[in-house]
Amino acid sequence: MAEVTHIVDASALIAYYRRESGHERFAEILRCEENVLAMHSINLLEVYYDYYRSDGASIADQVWGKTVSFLQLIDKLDEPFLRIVGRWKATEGISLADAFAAACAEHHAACLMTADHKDFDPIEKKKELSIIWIR
Amino acid sequence: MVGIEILEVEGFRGIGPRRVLSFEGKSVLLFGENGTGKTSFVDALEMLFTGEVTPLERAQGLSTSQHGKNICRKRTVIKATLTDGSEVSLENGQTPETPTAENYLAAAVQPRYILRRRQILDFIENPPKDRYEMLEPFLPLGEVMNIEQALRDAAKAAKSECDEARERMLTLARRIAGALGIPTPGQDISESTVCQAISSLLKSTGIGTLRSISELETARSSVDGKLKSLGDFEEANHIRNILSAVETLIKTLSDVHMAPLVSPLQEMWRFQRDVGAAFFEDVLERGLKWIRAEELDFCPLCGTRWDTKPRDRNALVKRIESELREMKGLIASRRCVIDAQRMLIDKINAANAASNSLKVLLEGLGRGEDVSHLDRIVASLGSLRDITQCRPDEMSPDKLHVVTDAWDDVRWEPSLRELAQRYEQVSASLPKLEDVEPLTRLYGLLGQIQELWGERESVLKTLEEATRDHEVKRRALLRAEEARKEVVQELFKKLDKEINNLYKRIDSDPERGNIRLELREATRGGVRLWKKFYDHDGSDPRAYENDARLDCLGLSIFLALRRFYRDEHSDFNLLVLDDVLTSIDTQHTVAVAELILKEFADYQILLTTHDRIWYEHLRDIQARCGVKSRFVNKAIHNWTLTEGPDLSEPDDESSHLERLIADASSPESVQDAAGAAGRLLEHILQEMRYSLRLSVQAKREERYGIGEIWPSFYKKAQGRYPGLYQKCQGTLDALNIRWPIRNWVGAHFNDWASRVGNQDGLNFARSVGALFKCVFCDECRRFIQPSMAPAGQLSCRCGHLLYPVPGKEAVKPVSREDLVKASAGAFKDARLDTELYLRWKREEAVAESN
Amino acid sequence: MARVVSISEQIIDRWFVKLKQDDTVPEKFVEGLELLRKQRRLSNLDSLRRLQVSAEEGENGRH
Repeated sequence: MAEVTHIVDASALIAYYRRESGHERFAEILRCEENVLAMHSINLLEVYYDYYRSDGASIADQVWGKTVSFLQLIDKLDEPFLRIVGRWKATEGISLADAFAAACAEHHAACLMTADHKDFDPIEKKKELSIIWIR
Repeated sequence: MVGIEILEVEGFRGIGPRRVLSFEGKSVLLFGENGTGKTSFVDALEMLFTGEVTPLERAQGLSTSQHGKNICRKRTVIKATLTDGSEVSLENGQTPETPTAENYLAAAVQPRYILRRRQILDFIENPPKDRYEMLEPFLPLGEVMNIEQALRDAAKAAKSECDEARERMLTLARRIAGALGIPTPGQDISESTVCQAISSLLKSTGIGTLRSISELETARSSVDGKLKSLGDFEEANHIRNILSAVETLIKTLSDVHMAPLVSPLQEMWRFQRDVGAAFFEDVLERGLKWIRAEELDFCPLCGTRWDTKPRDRNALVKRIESELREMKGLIASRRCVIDAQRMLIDKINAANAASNSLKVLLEGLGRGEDVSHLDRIVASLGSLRDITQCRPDEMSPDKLHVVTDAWDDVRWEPSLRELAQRYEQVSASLPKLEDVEPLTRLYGLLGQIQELWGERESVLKTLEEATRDHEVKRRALLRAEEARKEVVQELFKKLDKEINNLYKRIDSDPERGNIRLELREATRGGVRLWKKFYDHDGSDPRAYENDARLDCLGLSIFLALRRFYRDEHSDFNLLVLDDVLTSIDTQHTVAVAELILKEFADYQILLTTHDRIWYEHLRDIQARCGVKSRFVNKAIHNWTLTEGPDLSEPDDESSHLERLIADASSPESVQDAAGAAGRLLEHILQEMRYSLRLSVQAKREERYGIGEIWPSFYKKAQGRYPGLYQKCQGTLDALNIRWPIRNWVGAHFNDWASRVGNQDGLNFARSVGALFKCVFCDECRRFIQPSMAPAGQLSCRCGHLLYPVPGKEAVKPVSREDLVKASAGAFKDARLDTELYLRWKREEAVAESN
Repeated sequence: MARVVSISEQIIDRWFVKLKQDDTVPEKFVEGLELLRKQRRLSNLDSLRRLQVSAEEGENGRH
């Protein structure tokens, strides 16, 4: 597949779908041809079930279909990768989904796009990941 | 509007064999990695239009004439054909077909439309004076400066006239003061001062005061009247002159005495008696001279020879000398007589002159009888003259006696005294000199003052005119300078506005900006550059800005100036940007690219870049900005010293290969086909290396051939892009097997390759041709690339060539802009938002920890 | 398309406006300059030197 340049987390995607503050930044990054945006299926799952919960199955399905049309889906679950996920979860105290996002960013040496300052501010301070705040 | 249709270059800079860059009247985006000859096209354009290449001329030790030629070629050809058919070439000059083309070519002479990467900071880093000089082509002020200089010279000439007039006034004032006997004035002399001085002179004559110079003529008339009232002072004057002449004559005649002559004459006669015949001494003197000079050995008188011995001659000479000494007294006395004669002649001449003067005066009065009397005196003088003109030995006492008696009988003195007495009586009744003289002097003075004052009036008028002339021309010059400064500063403001507009499009940070150009006359036309930096409103950008922003500023200034130049030369729309985008930082490059493509859409742009990613990006931006149809996109694939840049289009290469395959009948033609196939394969792999992000073993020179790239490509096709591999397996495997041919034939034909069999060579060529068709789309003329989604799919830009992931549905490629349009805010009405999401996330985290 | 006025022309136009506004510059002089402008002799020193300054002078320049 094309080399991934940006990993998208749930908060960034939801903000983009909702046209919230930061959606233009997301759009700008997507517009740039040299960028390849991707998301781990676990993070998409997180988005899927939240939409399912708030807006119903139909919307959730639509969200899934829409997302895979412009984001690459990473479905990596091999052992070395899962260990990376585990490390992130254990050392940073973040959610499992966030750990998958962080692990993808680390694995692909890509930037992580997020709107979640609470969980990722400490990580940015430690300069462990390159983070793009969409807002 | 005229533009470039074709640019042909041969033997110039990095371009060897003839290469054609087709503009087709459009803008050109030219990609080529570093060192592939992009800048050579830019240099060729500059050389053609301006006659030199600026970077070569600026660098020390380099020049266009020495370093412009390609080192492998003897001949240099640069030729451009414009869209109206006009041609420009180095060899034949310009042949514009239309007035528009003529204007175009005239404007192209100044290279202000070309920006190179290294020049982007020129304006910012140059000192103020150099900045002004850089602006000069945009501010052609030659005509205005000439007018100002002419005004300056005219005012200066008027000032010189003023100064000359003032000088003359001063001279006249001094002359007037001098004539009036008053102190010399510092500057000018006033009418009142003159009138006062004249009035005091007039007072002594009893004539009234002078109130103004205009009364001078009246005063003069009064003086004349007074003179006339004294009587005929002319006659009085005349008689005074006669009296004076009589006195002079009496005096000169008194000096005429015979006595000074008589004594030396008597002395001379005495010597003559005592010493012997006077004539003898002459003879002796001459003979002596002769004997000495000629060394004669005979007597010069009688011719008798004498003993030639020096003793005898000497004895003779001694005898002669002895006799001469005896005659010394005689000789001396003769000299005294001659001297006395001369003195007497002088006195006689003086008396004659005085007599003539008196005669003229008497004749002037009509006194004929007095003139006759005078004539008698003059006649006596004539006798005296005669005797003074005799030789001394011709004079005798008797003769002397006669002349002396005759002179004594003349009795000139009484007659002259009587004459004087008569005239004195006459003059007694005439005006006295002491009465006339002051009035005459005054009359003359008044005339002189009148003349001088008149001259002064004339000079004063000249001075007034010259002063006015100078003042008017000086004002006109001031207004001209004001107008120039105002208009130029307004233009600068306009330029500021333009620069700021352009800069804001690139960098919208409100804490920066507010760019200002300031013209400073004090530094002979220096231009200062100010920019806002946070709360420092007018700071030198070099002090605070980083390189990226300085680059943006430099570009904004250049583009603003380019627009400026277009205002003056509307027919000229060429804009050349040589690799400037890559010097701008990533944050701003998209903004810059959009700015150039949108704001300069009506320009013919030649934009070069060495950055492959940027090349592709710019092609997409062209589409986004709606200017795709106005661009021709070219890529230089390769460069060698002997061949120069390779601009061939891949589909042209493919067509060429097909023809070669079709025509291959001999070993040589098969080799040609194999060679062409190798070049095409290199081209394909360069493209694939970029689009598939192939990993290649790093090399020092960074030039990768087939051998380096193919393994990575084949592996990726097999592993990551099974859709492509499945569809093109036969071709890919065939090429993979033929690795020697693949690696060694290529573009660099060598001896080994020449031994490859015909069939192998042809098969290789056919495989490459087939591979090309698999990876290059005829419709959108792009190579295949990975789709955004799904992973593993390859397609061309338009989707005509599509290799879906096996087992998955093919997704037609959509432009990024369309993707954004389709996805942004797609669920804006959904209940879920980030606030809700994050709340649920926190709740889950709490629940987990519990 | 509107004729683009060159910078020089703009400056000269401005100059004439200023001259007309300046009371110390005689009208006759300005008229003379305008004529020179038409004849493209504004930068000719001889012409400028001979240009009459006051109305009292003769037709062809100064006395």
